[in-house]
Amino acid sequence: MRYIGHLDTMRFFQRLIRRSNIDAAYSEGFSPHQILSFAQPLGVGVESNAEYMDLEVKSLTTAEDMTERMNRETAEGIEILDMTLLPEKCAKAMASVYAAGYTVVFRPGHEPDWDIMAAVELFNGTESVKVMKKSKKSYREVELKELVYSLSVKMVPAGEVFPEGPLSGDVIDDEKKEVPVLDMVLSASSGDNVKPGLLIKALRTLDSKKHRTDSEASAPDTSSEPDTASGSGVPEEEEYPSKTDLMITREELFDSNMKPLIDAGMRF
Amino acid sequence: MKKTALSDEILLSIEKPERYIGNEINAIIKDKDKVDIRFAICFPDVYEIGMSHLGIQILYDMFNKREDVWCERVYSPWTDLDKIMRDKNIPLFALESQDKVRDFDFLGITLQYEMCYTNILQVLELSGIPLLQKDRTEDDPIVIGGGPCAYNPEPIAEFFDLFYIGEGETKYDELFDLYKRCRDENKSREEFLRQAALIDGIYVPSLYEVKYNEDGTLAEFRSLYPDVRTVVKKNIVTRMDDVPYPEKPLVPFIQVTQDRVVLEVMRGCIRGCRFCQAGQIYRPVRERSTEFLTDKAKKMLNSTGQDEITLSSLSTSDYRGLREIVTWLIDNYREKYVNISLPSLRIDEFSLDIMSRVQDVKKSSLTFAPEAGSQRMRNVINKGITEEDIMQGSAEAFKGGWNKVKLYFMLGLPFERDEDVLEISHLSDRVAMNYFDTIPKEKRKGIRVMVNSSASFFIPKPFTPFQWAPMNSPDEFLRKAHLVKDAFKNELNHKSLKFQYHEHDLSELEGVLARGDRRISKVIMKAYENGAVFDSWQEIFDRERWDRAFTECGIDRRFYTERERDVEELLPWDFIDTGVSKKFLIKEWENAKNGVVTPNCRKSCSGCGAASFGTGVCFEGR
Repeated sequence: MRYIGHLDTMRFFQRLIRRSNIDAAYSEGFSPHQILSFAQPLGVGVESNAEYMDLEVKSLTTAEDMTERMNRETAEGIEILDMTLLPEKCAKAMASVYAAGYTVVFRPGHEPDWDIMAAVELFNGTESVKVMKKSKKSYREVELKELVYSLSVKMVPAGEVFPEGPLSGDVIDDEKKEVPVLDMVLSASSGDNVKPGLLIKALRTLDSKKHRTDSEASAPDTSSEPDTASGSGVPEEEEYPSKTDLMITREELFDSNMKPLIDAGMRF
Repeated sequence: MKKTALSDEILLSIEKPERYIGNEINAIIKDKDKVDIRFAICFPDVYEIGMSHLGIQILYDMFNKREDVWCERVYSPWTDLDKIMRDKNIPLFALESQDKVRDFDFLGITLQYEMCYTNILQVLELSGIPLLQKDRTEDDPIVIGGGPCAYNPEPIAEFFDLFYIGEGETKYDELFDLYKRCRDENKSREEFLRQAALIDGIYVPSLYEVKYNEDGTLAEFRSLYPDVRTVVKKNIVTRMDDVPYPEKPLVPFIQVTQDRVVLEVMRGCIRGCRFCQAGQIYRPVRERSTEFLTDKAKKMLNSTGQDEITLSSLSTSDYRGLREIVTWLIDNYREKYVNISLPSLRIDEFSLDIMSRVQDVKKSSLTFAPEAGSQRMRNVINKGITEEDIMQGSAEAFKGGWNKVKLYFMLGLPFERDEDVLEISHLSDRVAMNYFDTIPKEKRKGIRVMVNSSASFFIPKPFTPFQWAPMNSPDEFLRKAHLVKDAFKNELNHKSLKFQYHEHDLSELEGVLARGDRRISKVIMKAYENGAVFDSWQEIFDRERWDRAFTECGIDRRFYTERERDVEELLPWDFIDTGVSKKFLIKEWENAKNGVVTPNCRKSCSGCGAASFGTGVCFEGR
C-alpha cells in the first residue's frame, strides 16, 4: 500500500465506509461528503502501522463490530486496527498531532557508507544541530535538537528486518549480516513537521564533519555545507537520501503530552 | 508483502505506480495451478482510460465466473514505464498475478478506437510476443481482437490470430472449450485456429487471401479452405436480461475517467444517424428490464461503495424504462448521497426535470448535439433534431437555471456547403439570443450566458451509409474551421460564444485506419518502429512518424480518405455481416444525397435487415 497517494487513500476510505455500511454523517450543501479527515498525510513510499482518521457518524454499534465490518471490505495491506469515540467538542486529529514515531531501515544495497552508530551518538550528545529545511517555496534553518524527541539505533540481522522477505526487486545477500535499524520520534506539528529523511541527511553531515575535524584539524573550514545558504538562498539540491534509499514505517502519532492519539477517545 | 513485477525502486520512480500494482477492490485472484486457461484482457491505452471501459468489466466478470478460467487485466504502460521496461528488459505483466503476459493462453485486446493501433504493437512487443501473427509459435498466447474496430479488422489483420466479431457475451464459452479440447489432443496452434474459424462470428485472418486490382481497389477476398466461411456474421445477445452483468465491478485506487458504477440500460440505438457507426453495428436495440437493472444497481453500489451511478447507452432518452429507473434511484439512493449521472440525454422537459433533481444546476452545463448547423445538413445526416427542438430545449434549460450550453458539431460532412458550415456559428448565436429572449433582464443577475460550440472533423466509418463518402482533406477541414471561427467573431452575441475545433492531423490518420485494408498493417508497423505510440494523445502524437511510414511503404493516404468509393466496389470489410444489409446502406446513402429523412426504428421499420436476429425493437409490440 506504500504506492497509494494521500488523496487516493482518502477516496479509498470514503468508499470503504460506504461498503461497510458505516452510518457516516455528511456535510450540508449540494455536493455532500463524508466528514472525514486524516491526522497527517502519509508520503508515497512510506508504510504505516498507525494512521489516524477522524470520522463523524450518525450512529454507532460497537468498535468491534464496526472494525470487523470495515476489515471485511478492505484491500490487502489496509487494516482497521482500533476505534475510539472522541468527545463532542474535541480538536481534530489533524490539529492535535504533535509528534510521530518512525522505524527507519536502509534498503538492501543502500546501506550507509558512513558511520551511522557514531553519528547517532554524536547527535544525542551535542547541543545544537541546525539544518536547512525546505518548505513549499523557501528554505529555512531549523534546530533539529528541538524537533527530534528521541533517536536510537541498533544493529539487527538483515533476515529479521525483513521477516516477510525484501521488497520486490531487492535481494538480501546475507541474512545474518547486521544492518542498522533506527527508531525516532520527530516533530509532526503542522508548522514543524520533520521527515525521517531530513534527520538521516543531518546524521550523515555530522559524521562527515567529524571526519574532517579529525583529519584537517587546523585547516580553515572552506567547504560550505549545503545548509549555509549563499546568494540565492537556495542551496544545491542534494539527492540524499533518495526516495528509494530508506524504508520508513510510521509507528505511532502522539499528541503534545506524548500520548498516542488513540488515547484521546473512549472505548465503545 | 505482495510481490510486484516491478521493483520497488521502479515503482517509486514512475508516475502513478498504482496503475501497475493490481490489488484493487473486487479484483479476482485465483490459484493459477487450479485453472486451465489464463486469459489476459487488454485495453491498449493507459490504465485510467482502460479501467473506465464497461466491456472489459463485463468480460472480466463473465470469464472469471468459469472455474477453469482466470482472466486478468493488462493496460498500456505509460511512456515513462515503457522506457524503463525496454531499457531493463522487463516483460509486460498482468495486474492480478503480476505474471508475464507471454505465459498466458490468450491475450484479448479490445479495439475501441483506431488511434490505439500502435499501442497494440507496444503491448505485443513488451510482452515478447512476435508482432506478426505468422511469426508466432506454440509458446505464444493466442491474440484475439474484439470491439467496434473489429468490424473492419483488415488494417490490423496481420497482428491478430483471430477476431471476435460482435458481442462478447455469446461465444467465448465455445471458444474456451474448443481450446481445452485442442490442447488435450495435442493439436497445434494452426489446428486450433482452423477449428475456431468454424465458430460463429470468429474471423481468422490467416485463413483468407486478398487480391487487388491495378487501381488499388480490392479485387477478391476469399477463404483458403472450403470449410472456412466467406461471410462472418456478428454475434449478438438475444435477451439482455439473460446474459451476465457484473455485480462486483473493480474499484481502482486512482481516479479514472469513468469513476462510477455503470448501468447499461440498453444496447443499440433506434436513431440511425448516418455518420454513426455504433448506431448501425449494435442494431437492433435491445433493452434491459427495470427489474434487472434495479437488482444490479443495488448490488454494484453495495459492493463498490461508489457514490455515483451512470445510466449508459447510446441514447438513454430512448430507453422506455427511464422514468421508472430514475425515480427508483432517486427514491432509494438520494438519501444515501449517491449521484445519478445521465449522459446522452435528449434535452427536453422531462430530462431537465430529472437533471435539476440530481445535479447542481449552477455548476453543470447542458449539452446539445445538433452535429450540423443547418437543417438541410441535419437531414443529410439523419440527425432527427430540429432547430425548434434546440430552441425549446435551451429555453427550458435557461428557465431552469442553466446558463452554460455546449453544442457539438461536425465539419466535413458529405454534401456540405459553406453556407451549412456558417450555420454552426449562426445557430450558436441564436441559442445565445434565445437566452436573452427567455430570461428577462432583471432575472439575469449579471450572469452572462455561455454557449460553447465545438466541432470535430467527420470521419467516414465502415458499415455506415457514409462508408462510400470522400473525407475532406486536412486543408479543407482547416479552411472550414477558419470560416466558422471568423463567422463567430461577427455574431451579435460573440461575447457569449466560444468556438473550438479538433486536431485535423489525427482525423486524417483515423480516416485511413478506419477504412483501410490489409496493406495498412505495414504502415502501422513502420509508424510504430518510427516511435509512434499513444497516438490518441495529442501531446504525444507526432505526425512526422506517420508521414515517414506512409512514404516508406509507398502508400498514398488519400486513396483511403479523399476518394469517393463506388457502391459497386468490394470493400475490405464486406465479408462481415452486421445484420444491416448493404442494400439498406446504399438506400440510406441515396437518401442522404437527397436530404431525405429516415424515421427511427420505433416510428417505423425501414427494413435495415437487423430483424434477422429475431429480437429487440424489431419485434416490440408484436
